This record gives sequence, C-alpha cells and structure tokens, in this order.
Amino acid sequence: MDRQLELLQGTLDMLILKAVSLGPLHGYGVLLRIQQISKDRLEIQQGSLYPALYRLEHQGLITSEWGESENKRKAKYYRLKAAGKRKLQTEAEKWNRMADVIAGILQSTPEEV
Amino acid sequence: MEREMDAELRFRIEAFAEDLARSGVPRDEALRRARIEFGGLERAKEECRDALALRIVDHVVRDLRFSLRLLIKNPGFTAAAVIALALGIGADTAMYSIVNGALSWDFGLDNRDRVIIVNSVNTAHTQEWGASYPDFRDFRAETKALAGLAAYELTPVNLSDHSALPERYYCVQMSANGVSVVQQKPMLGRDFIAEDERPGAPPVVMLAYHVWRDRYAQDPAIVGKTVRVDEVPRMVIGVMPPGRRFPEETDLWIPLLPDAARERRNARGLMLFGRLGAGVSLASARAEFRALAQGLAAQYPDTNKDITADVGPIMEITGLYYIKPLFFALFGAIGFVLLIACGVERRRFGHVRQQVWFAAFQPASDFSDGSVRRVVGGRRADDSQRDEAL
Repeated sequence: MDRQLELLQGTLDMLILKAVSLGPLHGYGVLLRIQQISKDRLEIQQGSLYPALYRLEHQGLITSEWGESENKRKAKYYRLKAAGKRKLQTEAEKWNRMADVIAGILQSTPEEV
Repeated sequence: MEREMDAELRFRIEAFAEDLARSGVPRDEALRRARIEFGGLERAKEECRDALALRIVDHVVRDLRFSLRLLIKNPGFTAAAVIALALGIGADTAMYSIVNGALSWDFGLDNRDRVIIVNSVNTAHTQEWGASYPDFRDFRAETKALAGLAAYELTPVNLSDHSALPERYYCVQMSANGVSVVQQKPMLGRDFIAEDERPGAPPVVMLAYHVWRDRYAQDPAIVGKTVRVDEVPRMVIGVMPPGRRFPEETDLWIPLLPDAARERRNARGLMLFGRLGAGVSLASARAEFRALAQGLAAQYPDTNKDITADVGPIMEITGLYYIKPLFFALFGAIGFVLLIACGVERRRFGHVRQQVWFAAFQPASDFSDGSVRRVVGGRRADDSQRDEAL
C-alpha cells in the first residue's frame, strides 16, 4: 500500500471537521494534519480543500478568524463550532456503520449466504 | 471577502514554499514549485466562490437542462406547449399595443384629463351630433364649468403659393380660442386672437410643423407671408410645434367664421371641445350642459326640441372610447390563453419538476458533493417518470 489513496467522494468534509476538532488550524494546516495523521497515505485534491472550508464555514459548522502563523504571518484559522461537533459525531457514526456493513459483505463466504 | 480569500490562498502557497525551502530547496525554486503545485490562483478562487453562493446557479442550470431533456423527449407535447405559449404571448402583445395605443392617446396634450368634448344628443333616437354655431355661441357665453369652449370642423383644402405646386391638405376651421383652450402654443408667430374670427377680418392661417418643414423648408420668414387656401389669400401667422396635432391630425388651421349656412341652429356640423375649470368635475360640467341644452330647447323648440348636450372625456373624440370595455374584455380573454398555456405546462411537468427542485435544493449539509447529488436527482426524476408511465 505504498501508493496514495484518493479520497472517497463525500468524505473530505468529515476529515476537515475531524482535523479542526483537534485544534484550530489554518487551511494549509488542515491539509498537513490530514496527511500527517494518515501517514501520507491519503491524497487530498488541491482544488477541493478551500472550497470545502468555505462551504463548511458557510454552513456554520466551522468558524474562522485571522491570526498569526508559526512563522509570524497572518493566516486564517478555522475552529470547530458546536454544530460542527455534532455533525462530526453523526457522520463518524454513519461512516463506521457503513464501513462495518461493507466489510461484512466483503468478508462473507458461500456458506453464510 | 475577496481580499481575505486572496490572502488565505497566497498564505497557503507561501507556507508550502517555506516547507519546501526548509527541506533544502532553494527559496526561488521552492516558491515556483509551490505555485505549480497549487495551480491557478484565480481558478482556486473561482471554486471557493462557487462553494459559497454560486451553487444555486449550478442547480438552476441543472434543472433547466433536465427540463430541456424532458421537452425533447416529448416533441408532440412540446410543440403544443410552444404553440400555445407563442399564441398567448403574441396575442397578448398585440392586444397590449392596441389598448395602450388607443387608450393612452394623449392628443399631444399636457392636460388630457381636463379636456372634454361636448356632443348634442337627440333624445328621440339617442343619435349623437355635433353642435350648431348658434348653440356653440350660447354655450360659450353661458358656461361657468368650463375654462373655455371651442368649436371646429375638419375640411380638405387646396394650398397654393409661389414656393411649390398646389397641394391638398386637411384644414381645421376652429374658433379663435381653440389653441389657448387646450393650453397649447405655436412654436413660431402667434395663434388666433378674437379679432381673427370677426366677420370681415383679414384672413389668416396657421401651419402644422410638417407643412412648414416640407413645403417651406423651415423658413422662419414664412410668418407674415401670404398663401392661398382654397384661393383665399391668407397671412401665415404661426407654426405649431411638431408632434400630435389637435384636435385632429390636420395640416392647417384657419379661424371658424359664422356665415349664413352656419347661422342655422339645426346645422349641427361643429365639434365642440373645452377645458374643465379649476376644481370642476366632469359630472358637474355634464349637469351644467344638460341644463343649458334644456334652456335652448325651451327657447328654440323648432330646432332644439329633444336635443340635449353631453360632456365626455376627450377620448370620445376617437370613437375608440366607446369600445373600451370590449378592449379590456379581449385583453382579459387573451390573457387567459396565456394562463392556460402555462397551466398545461405545469400540469404535465409540475410533478417531476418538484422532485428535481427538491433534489437540487436539499440543504447542502449532507456530505455528498455535487456530482453525487446529480445522480440522485436524476434518478429520482427518472423514477417518477417511470411511475407516470406505468
């Protein structure tokens, strides 16, 4: 499994919420954190990250404010809101159920059917 | 907003470049690579904007595309709908033009609402006529409701002079107060004065703008010159401004003089128009003229028995006024054609469309992105179509 996996459609928002839930991040930080946690096994499409951030902010799931980055630059930091926290919980739950179901199907043997 | 977006995306590129630089890439090279890695800044901003507000546009476009597909799928129905809509819109537009043109005709007047006409009505057979000169003279002398009352008659005349070949023109013979009653003014020279309608007064004429322009090449010195109208030499005293002419689309105006034929009280060939006095309503002017006509009927039973007078808005002069209700009825009927056309379209597609809208405008909070939802929306619509077909 050396090659990077492409993100499943519809999962980016959830991963952003998760990344931001671990602490305020600027946009580039979100990218780095997801890559770091996934041990660089996930490839995040350049073009989708920022639109997703804007969309999530627009939906009131995250909020942003300008702050100073590690190297003393102005950067926009995103932080999880309460609604985003709830959303993350339900989506994570859904995702886990879905993963279980799919794993169960894939592991099924002729005898079980 | 736009500036923040720019700053944020630039920060993203620079931060990445710094990371690269830290890992040993030369600073310039790092920035270059970061830019390449990020791709077009403008495109990225475009996508961010999309994520915010323009998604709705995207949805509408998708909906339209879907409608179009449905229309192509049902060519027969589409043709019927298009024809119904075309007829509806076409007829509506035509009717609107007619109604608008006919009912909002302003006669070139600034005070159209205050200008009225007076008719004689024979109560024996409700036939409407004009008025005779003696009746006009009496009305004009006695009316208090009107700020002025004028009489006119339209006749064709020959105009000849030294500047061009004789020409046939329409000529309004009008009481001298005609222009001032409707508060118009000539653009050159003067209009008629009371002196001009005194029997034996030097004959005068006023020109319409187009006559002055076409026949006299806009010669300002025309005022004071003499032309012949039906072989009578008349001095040009004024030129009326361009635009609609009053009270008819005439070419010339000359004063209306009472002669032996016009002095007969039952020679009702004159049209009367006037202007309501300040604060006087149409109804009270009507009442006054009815009373005046009754007085004349009592005084001159030979000629004026059964003759009453009616005052109406200037619109009546066109005759179109009387079919005004018909206009509105037609206008309404044709409006319904359009409504029906729209209704048919809704009945056929409303069900499907509702589902499409539903799919398109679901709160975007679920984690599916546009492409996923497009499939969902499409399938839902297809299902419902199949349901209809079954």
